[in-house]
Amino acid sequence: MSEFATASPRGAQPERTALSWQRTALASAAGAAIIARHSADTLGLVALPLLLGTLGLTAAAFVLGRRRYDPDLGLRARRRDGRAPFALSMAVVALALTELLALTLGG
Amino acid sequence: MSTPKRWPAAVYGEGEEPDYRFSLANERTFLAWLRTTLALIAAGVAVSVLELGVPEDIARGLAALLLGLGVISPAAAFLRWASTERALRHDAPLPSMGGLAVALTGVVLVAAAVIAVVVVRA
Repeated sequence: MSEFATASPRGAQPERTALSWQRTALASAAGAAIIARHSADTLGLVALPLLLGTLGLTAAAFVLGRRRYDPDLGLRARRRDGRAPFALSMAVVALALTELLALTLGG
Repeated sequence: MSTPKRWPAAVYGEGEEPDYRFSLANERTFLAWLRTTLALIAAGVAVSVLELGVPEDIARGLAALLLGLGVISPAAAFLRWASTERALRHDAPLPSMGGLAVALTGVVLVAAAVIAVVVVRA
């Protein structure tokens, strides 16, 4: 095992990664708002739960993304797993599906 | 004290904890794929909203292509993140980009061609 594997993350790497999480989550939330506004004419009230669901997933990824780099060593192993990547992936898939649905129904 | 379980087990069930710098770089690559996907979705919305001066069927087809890639890319990015993390834990060669990069390049070239047609006709 590498000597770094057992060492705690230090330097700019965790900060850089946390910032990357935050800007991706914020961009997703902004995209969700724009797509909800754009697709509301076509989808009506259906756009609202889609927006709220996407924002919920984005918020979960934002929080999980931040907590992954909390200095609390005891929980770090649990935090850095696949939950946050999965939540954010699903949020972006939901964004694309919403717009695709609006495009299809828009005739 | 029991060790908390990490998800997915297919990634974390075996192997050893890799150098943390590689794991963090893997995460940032995954996030870069998601931001690329957001740009594709934005392009899809723009194509469907803006008047490009091309037949509507072509504009709608291009928008659907971009948005369809917006559906596939995040799932592919997650699978790629998982397979890379798994390879890191086993100290194995990293997985290839697969067809995703080829598909993405193809769509970007098609979009560029449509934009070029629009600009020339204008």
